[in-house]
Amino acid sequence: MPHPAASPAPHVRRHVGCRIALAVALALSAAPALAAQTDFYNTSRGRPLRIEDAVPVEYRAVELNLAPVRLDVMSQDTRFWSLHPEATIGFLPRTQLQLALPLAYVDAPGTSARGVAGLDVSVLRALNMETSIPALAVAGDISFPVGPLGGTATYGTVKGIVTRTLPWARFHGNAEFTAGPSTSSADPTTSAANDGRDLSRWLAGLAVDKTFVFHSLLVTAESFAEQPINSGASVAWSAGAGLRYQLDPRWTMDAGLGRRFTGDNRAWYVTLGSAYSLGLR
Amino acid sequence: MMRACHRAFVRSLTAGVSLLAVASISRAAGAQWSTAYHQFYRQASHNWQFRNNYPAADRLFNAFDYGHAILYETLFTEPNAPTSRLEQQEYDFITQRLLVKPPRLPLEESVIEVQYAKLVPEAKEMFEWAHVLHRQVYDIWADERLSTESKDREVHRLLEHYLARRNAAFSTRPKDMHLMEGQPYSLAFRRRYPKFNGLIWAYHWLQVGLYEPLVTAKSSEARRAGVDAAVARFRAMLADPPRSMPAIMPMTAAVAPEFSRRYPEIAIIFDNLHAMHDVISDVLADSTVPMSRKRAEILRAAARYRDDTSSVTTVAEWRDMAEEMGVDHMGGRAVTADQPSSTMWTSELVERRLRDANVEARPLPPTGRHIFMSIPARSYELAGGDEVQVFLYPDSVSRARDTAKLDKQRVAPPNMMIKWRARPTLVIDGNLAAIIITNDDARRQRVRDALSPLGKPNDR
Repeated sequence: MPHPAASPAPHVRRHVGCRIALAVALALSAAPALAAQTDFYNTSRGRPLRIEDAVPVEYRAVELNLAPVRLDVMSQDTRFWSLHPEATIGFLPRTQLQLALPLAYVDAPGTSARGVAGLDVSVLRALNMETSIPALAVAGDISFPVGPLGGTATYGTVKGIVTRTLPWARFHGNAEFTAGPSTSSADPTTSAANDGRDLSRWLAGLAVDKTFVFHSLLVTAESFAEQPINSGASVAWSAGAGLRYQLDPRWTMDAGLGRRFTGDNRAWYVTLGSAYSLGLR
Repeated sequence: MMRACHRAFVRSLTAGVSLLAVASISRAAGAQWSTAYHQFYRQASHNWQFRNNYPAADRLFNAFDYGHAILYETLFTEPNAPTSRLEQQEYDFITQRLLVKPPRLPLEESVIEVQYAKLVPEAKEMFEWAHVLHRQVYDIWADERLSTESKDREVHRLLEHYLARRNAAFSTRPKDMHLMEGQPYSLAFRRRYPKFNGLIWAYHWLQVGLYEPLVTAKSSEARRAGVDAAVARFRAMLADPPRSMPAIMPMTAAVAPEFSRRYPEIAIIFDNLHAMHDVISDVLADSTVPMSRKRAEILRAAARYRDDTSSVTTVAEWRDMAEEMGVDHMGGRAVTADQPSSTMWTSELVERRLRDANVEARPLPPTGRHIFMSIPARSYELAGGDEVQVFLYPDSVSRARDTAKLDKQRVAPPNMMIKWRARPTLVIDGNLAAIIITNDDARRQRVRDALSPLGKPNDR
């Protein structure tokens, strides 16, 4: 059975991935001593949708996205599962640091693969708080080739985010560009790996959300276009909808449903996740 | 064909994102660039203890969030709206629905006060930071696992944590009344919206009034009884608005004297917080402050309430001022652990008691206040043209202040001749005084029985 993560030294990457996973697990295990408030109102990438708002987590907050799951149902009976645990820390005013260690499982006819699908480190900096000027933020993300499905190259992404709040809804615009080598769609190994890493050469999109304040519920919808990192792939257009719901002062749940309507990799996808917020002592 | 569609879509989308940003920014030419930020509250083992141990009171604060937010949003976005928009529409929604079934979680205020939040995020953040202080002090004193010494230590740590954000923290120096009531825009809100203003002051009374039973009680049962009594007092304030509401801003030193003695700096912070709430209401309500000046005026006031130099008075003067203004006008002193908690009389309870006693009582339109009573009566017509006048005070102390001056037989001050149209009978109990005016002994007795002292199981 072919393994999509065939690479010169997979055991080395697995070793690195395990150490990082261990470090994250240790960090998380220390956290439950704290207690804090979480916030259904602020969206972040993938929670539940791809387009996010320009508001970082609060200064001195730690938000743990525990076991958020995403399933992509693609053509030819291929299913792509990913688990995207991440920790976000408001380490400076208006600034957050996020660490994510996605795990992926590709289930295609006649083949399957699973493992760590990269290591993402990102920083989001809000430039201002919204006044008559919309909220603006910039973000930088580095995706390291960690794990069996982590590909072979490091990628850097820069993103601009704008959020505008109106009395009846909020609007968000995201635009991002990723630097790094293109992969070949002719090579299923790298193609599958980069699906796991959720990379695009560029992406631009809009989202709108509506808050039901007495129910602590946010309903959101998005539409975005992206150029896959695979060379020669056509632009893919996706649309989705989701919600975030505050369970109690600490827990938030989110869920999303979307469809990649065009491009080479059309798929339905669903996401389900929960976030637990803590604070730095 | 498909590719062309994609390209067109992508171009449209990119243009849309760019336009959203550029249009928003260009329209905001001359607008303010704000670098205010949110900060998570201090982590400790006592987090959420008040919510866990006193859920009913905690939920009320979630409802209060809405009241403050909708007030500012309405004043700012609908300056020409009729007074009934707040005094009736919003007031009724808050008191008849929201306070009856408060939200289970703190509300995201920026969803309710969208335009106000964008006008002065700096002031909004000051309020949020002070409200976090409020809630965390409750948490500490609601945590039965902590000793009194530990609570004191935690409160002082919390205060340090709060004050570390100088751009969001209120001053610990008391401010004189000139800052709140001596500005060109002062009193604009309370004059136009006396009922909603009373509601906000009732909120502020409860916010500080809860501390007194929490810090004076010697057991969790006593603390619970004290908190229940404070909430009951708050609800009684809504019974006959605005007469039953605080007539002046509740000051922490008067409402919660033991708490203020124990933590004077925090009590001063809360008074500065509540005063600034009033100032912002005035700035937003005053039509002589043009829209283009609202932000600047609010920021100016906010800076004065943060600094340690503007309009500063001494702690002794602050305490004296609180006492001299009269705690009864502020809603009364909060219940302490050594006071027995009791059910409060409300107009609903009076009517229910009369109904249960088969006394026909038809509410009469409001009339003027008696010269010898400090509050107006709620009057009911009895059968045969007789009448009962009911006076509902915020507490028994303020009720006693009025009734102690009366000759109980004549129901009049000793040096005053009052001509009643029938024989008057005075009934007093707790926060209630009632004058039954009838020559029918049986009817008098039935009303008297109906207004017998509280304590029946269904009185709560």
